[in-house]
Amino acid sequence: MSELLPVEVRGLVKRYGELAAVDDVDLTVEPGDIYGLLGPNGAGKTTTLRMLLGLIRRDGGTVKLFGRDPVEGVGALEDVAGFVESPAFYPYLTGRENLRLLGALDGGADLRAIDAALERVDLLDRAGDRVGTYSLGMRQRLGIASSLMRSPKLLVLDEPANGLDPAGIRDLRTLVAALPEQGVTVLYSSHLLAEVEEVCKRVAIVNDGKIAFEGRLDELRASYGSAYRIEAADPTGALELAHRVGAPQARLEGHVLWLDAPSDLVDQLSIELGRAGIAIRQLAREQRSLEDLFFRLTEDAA
Amino acid sequence: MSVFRAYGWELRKLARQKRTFAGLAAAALYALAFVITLSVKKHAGIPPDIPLAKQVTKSGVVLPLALLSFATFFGAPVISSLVAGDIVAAEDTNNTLKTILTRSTGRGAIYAAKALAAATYGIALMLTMFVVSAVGSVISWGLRGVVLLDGQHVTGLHGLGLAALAYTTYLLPLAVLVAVAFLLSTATRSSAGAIVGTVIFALALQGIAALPGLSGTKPYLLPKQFDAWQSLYGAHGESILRASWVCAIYVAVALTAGWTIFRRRDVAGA
Repeated sequence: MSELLPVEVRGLVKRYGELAAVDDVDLTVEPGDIYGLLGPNGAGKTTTLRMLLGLIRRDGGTVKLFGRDPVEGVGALEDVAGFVESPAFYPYLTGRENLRLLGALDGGADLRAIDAALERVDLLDRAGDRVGTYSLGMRQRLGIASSLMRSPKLLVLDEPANGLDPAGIRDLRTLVAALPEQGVTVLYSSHLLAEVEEVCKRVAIVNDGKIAFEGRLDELRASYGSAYRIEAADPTGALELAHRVGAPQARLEGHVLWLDAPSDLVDQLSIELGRAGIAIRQLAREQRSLEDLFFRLTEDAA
Repeated sequence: MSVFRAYGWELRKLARQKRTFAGLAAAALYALAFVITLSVKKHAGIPPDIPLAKQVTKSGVVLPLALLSFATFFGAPVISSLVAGDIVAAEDTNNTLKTILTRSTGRGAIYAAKALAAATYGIALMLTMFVVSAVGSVISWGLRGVVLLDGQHVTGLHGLGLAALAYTTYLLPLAVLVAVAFLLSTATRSSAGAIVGTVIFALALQGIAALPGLSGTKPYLLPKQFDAWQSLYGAHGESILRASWVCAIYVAVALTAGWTIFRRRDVAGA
């Protein structure tokens, strides 16, 4: 029998009145992935994660976590841990008490496992303090500890680097990077490209509730990573011609015409520009940064 | 098992919150205020329509009963909803519902554990009020015998036992207020909303019970159940059995409505 997928989402929909917060989303997270869910704030990432964890009901589609639907109840979350938005705890209990409480809700608290989880996120020395006195970064780390103590096979992290200092972010990356070797698949949601680029190999870029791209980061670079930069004597005329020859996505940035098109179309455009008497001053193929691609997929689509 | 494990932690959470002790302190102060006022102002007395009013400064076992009569109107709804009205709403305030609902304990067990904890707090409140008022009034007026409503004379110890039973009986309508506060806590997600709502609910039922032409339904309205303890003292027209099933219906309706909301609720952002 083939291994069950940690996350298999098909046609996921969540509407709030007329607004589709999540619109026909498909996600496939393979075992051992560190999978990035990337998108600007309000793109629908957290709503998607909430449906994955059974916290909100969906309006359409299917969700399977290791073959089980979270709507069935907490049994489907047996091998799953994580948090959405910032992790929340009882401020009047200590960090250790909060973990003991959550351990009890998991069927029994193993104190050694709790302390091991606290040590792993470097919180053992503050474990006896009330969570109300913790900084945002400390709460993030406690959230990670509370997830790790469940020994999950799938870890869902929503903006886990929020509030962490640079050293904390470095430690988080190291920790997350080591998880697949321990049999843990990670679904890592963030609005920060650099963060996702650092830890994830596969990503889904979400924008306006839709998946704008899903695949490996190197595939993203290969597919969308280069564009032609054309400086013409008459930029507006060049843009009109580009649209006419079949490059509707061509656009002007200042005096520069940007063209995402195969080379034969660029050849055709250069011939047409010559025929139209529009001089080409410069034509070059430029490699885009991942950041450019991210903005292109999220801002241009909007 | 998961219900009891979650219940244990609900109690621990209550034990770590100031609100819990504020409620218990209010119950104790309420009882002490009566003891001290009646001890200092020897001729103050209490309204004659309160059962056994004339004996309140003659035997230490009567004052706890007077407190029950006074509590019915305002005190019981407020103190019973202080925790019951907060126990679900606080999860919204702290944004912790998402934390506990993604562990291995189901919504049903968490709901049941919270309901049990709210009920336990109701019992703790009544116990506090009884112990403080009984100890205070026995110190002030002694453990003397008392004449019941049907004219029967009982010893002080017997009277104290009856007062304890009266408090136990009073838990029946109090459970209704706890259940209503619990429902409102779940539905409104606001502690203040739940407390105010419970007080309004209690006052509204008092108002309905006072309406003319409702004499047939009065025995089944909530205010009447607050007087059920008087049957222990020989009062006619009161029934603990009737209070038991009437209150059970109120509690069942409130808890079922709350569960319907809790089971289906979306745990979205704060």
